[in-house]
Amino acid sequence: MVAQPASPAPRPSFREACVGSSTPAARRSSLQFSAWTLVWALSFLAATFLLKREVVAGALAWVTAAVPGLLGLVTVAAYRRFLRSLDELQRRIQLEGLALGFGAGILFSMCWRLFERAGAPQLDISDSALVMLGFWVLGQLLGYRRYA
Amino acid sequence: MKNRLRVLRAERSWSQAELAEKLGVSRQTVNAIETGKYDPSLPLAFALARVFGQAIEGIFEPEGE
Repeated sequence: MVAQPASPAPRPSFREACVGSSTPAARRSSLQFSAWTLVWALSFLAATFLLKREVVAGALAWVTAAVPGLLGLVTVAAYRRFLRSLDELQRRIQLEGLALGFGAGILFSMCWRLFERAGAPQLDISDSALVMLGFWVLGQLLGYRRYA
Repeated sequence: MKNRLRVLRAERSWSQAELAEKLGVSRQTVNAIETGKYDPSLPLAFALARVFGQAIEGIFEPEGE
């Protein structure tokens, strides 16, 4: 067989540079994970609303508080399925994103306590979770760009 | 690690997407291996060798050799 001149690698699209390309199985599990994340977020907002306005009380309040947690477990399971459907490079990108998110979240929650002692405003635990989430997303974007 | 992936792919007129489908990985992974940004695991290197009908050392070569 005669060797043809090797063509240069096609330039990745903007979307591909940001979130990478994926196999059909990964696309399916990604959609499922996104859907469960949305369901969890909506249940969290609804539970917050109901509990804040004291629409529910007694045992029903406890059930209302537990529902987002249970849906969160399903979301975590969907994320695990998503991770397992990825190929090795995409899994590495996810791992690097998780490492950045986890590290930044822990560092932020520990260091901010010192800043609070120095007079900074008091934050609650959900602020650390937001930092963790933000850096997880940032880590993924950096990974997809690095290997694009 | 240097590799001959792009040349071998061009010999067969396969696109990156076609090779990715044969390997069961994303196009991004094939591109990252071709451009030397990512070294594949041993199972994926064996899969590449099988797809191209070559030995692993016929595709990959350590840097500086």
